[in-house]
Amino acid sequence: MSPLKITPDKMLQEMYEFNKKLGEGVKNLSQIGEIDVGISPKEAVHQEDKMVLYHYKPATEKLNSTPLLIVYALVNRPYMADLQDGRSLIQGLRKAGQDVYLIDWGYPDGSDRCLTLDDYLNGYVDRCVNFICKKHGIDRINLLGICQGGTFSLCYSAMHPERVRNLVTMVTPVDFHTPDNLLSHWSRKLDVDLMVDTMGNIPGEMLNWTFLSMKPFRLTGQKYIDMVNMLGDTKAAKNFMRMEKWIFDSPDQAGETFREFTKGFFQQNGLVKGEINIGGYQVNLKNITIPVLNVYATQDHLVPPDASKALKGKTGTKDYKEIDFRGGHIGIYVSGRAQKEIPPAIGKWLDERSE
Amino acid sequence: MTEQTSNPDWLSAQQEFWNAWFNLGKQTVAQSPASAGTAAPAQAWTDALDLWWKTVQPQVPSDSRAVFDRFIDQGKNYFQFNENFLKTFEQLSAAGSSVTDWQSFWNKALAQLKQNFSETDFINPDMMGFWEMPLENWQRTMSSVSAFPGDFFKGVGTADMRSPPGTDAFRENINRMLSIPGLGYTRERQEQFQDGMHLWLEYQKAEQKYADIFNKMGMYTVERLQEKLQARDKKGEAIADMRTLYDLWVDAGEEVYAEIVTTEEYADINAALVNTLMAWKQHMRMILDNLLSSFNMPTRKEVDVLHARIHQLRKEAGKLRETQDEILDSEALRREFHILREEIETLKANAAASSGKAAPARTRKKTAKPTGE
Repeated sequence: MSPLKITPDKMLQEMYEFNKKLGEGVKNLSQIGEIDVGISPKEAVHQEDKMVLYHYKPATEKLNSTPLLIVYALVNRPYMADLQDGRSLIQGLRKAGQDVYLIDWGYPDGSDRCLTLDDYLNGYVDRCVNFICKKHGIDRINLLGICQGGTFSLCYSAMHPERVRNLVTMVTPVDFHTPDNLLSHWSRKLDVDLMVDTMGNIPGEMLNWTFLSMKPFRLTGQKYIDMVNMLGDTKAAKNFMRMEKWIFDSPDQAGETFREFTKGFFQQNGLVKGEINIGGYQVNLKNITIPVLNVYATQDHLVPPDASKALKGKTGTKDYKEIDFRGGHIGIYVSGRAQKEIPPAIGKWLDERSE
Repeated sequence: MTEQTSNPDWLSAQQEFWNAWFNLGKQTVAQSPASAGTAAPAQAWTDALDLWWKTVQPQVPSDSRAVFDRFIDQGKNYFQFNENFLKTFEQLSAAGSSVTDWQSFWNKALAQLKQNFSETDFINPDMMGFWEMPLENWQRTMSSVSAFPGDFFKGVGTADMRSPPGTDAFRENINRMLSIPGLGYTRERQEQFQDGMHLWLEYQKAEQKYADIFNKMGMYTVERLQEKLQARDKKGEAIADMRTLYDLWVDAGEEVYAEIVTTEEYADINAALVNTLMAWKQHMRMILDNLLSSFNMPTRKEVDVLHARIHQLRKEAGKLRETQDEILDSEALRREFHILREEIETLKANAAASSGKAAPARTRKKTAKPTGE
């Protein structure tokens, strides 16, 4: 007996229903208007070139006395961490009594092509840390790094251990040569020098293509077919449009930083080998003796869990903890369940280790 | 919101369009005998969606158009998927519930799909649109970072170059022609042009290999889909709608994709695609720089050097600023130290005077004089 119970009439009916929903969806989407992102109130407190340091308005009366600086990746925009009400890591951290700052790297252009990792970490990040310390009259801050920003935070903490009180890393690649790391596998044979010498800054579109190529049929195909069923729901449509805005909002990468990061981290796996040198500082993870909280997503296809879990035992800390979240690389920020689990856990961990 | 899309007349016009399409479709399906082997209007569904979108598109806000385009593209791929299997379902339907050898109908359809993948080039209308996605994404990405509008590579008629029959021989002939040494006082320019063409041909070769591996993936996906259908048959699980079949197809595709893109072969092909393109672009940039230089205009190379020097200067200025801050800090400390020393001496002298004892002789330790004093 055939398992295929589809008749031409049924097919036609399905297509008709699909088109009807698509038509209604067009009507709904065209009525949505401007898509707002970044819902938590903030002010720009420090600016250098394209970089802006934001301070979020505290949400509780009682605050952790050590402010928390979030260092995001260069490859995407940071409003993913503050996407909408109820789906915001930053909102959750503020509610957990943290005094939150965030570095927004902006959109590099041709004039930024010579920026190196030294400029970013020992320059921009270090001066942001100085600014926050001076403003609060403290010596050290809490640091939270997201994805590539987590890798940066590890490097910064290793180079300047006296400036960081507690370190949190989220979906952070540490070992770039785990067998399931597709990005690393694809990048090994790339001639990065040729790429950067030719293009200068690496276009955001190219990185987009790479990320979408990791699951092309789901991410560029099935996702839209799924969405047709939900386009009639204005709230669902708006949520979808927010994600679409973020996914395709990829900044260009400063050429020299892209060269250093891709060669040193992806191709040579220098971080775990202790072979990374940034501005004369040898990055030795053993220099990190402060408490470390490592949060990773168990279904992360961009930064496989093993790439993050490799941090265990690599630092010099006696206070190392892991939190695993059952979800993906993006879900850890935007899913409703993540909001209930992650920010309160981070807040509690930080409060237990701050004065 | 546009006036049009909120206009009830526009909305009912859309509804009428799809109602008419549905009625026409029903008639066509009813008239199309499966045994005659003619499919329903093969492209009709996709064309209808295309036509509808062309009428609707001007009404869509421009900042949402990119997203809508993605919906429509995937809608077309979905329709094409359905159209490809329509003939098979017509035959199955005509054979009725008594059909025991459903697999032979199905295997014939899948064999045709595999055939399409093995014969396809970049622009095969029979190829399942689904499988064009990674390739299309690459083309669109490269087009967006190219100096030339639209898809530059299609513009230079590369489709013929990619035709499988005789491609290697064709390329070899071109290579031979391009190896002819340049003559005359423009020989350097000729050689630059020839080198550029060599690099472009290398890129074409890499792009063809990329397309070939995707064709291979397409064929494996068809086989994987077959396996999944057989597995469902064994479990007695029915597939009652096209969406379920489509999802199975996506699952099969992603599984095969994940297996192949983790191989060394794929990593080599993927890297070659990027590296050959970069080599060609770098060469074109050099030619452009030569042209700009002949017009006494700034070249890319010069601007890069300027950027590098500015960057260096900024770093040095930053270091000088830090050093200056340190010096000023230490200057301030030294001054404060001297002031405090003098205050202590004064206090000692006053204390001694008030107790009637002679003030002790002031002793000065040798200390470095603060600069500027």
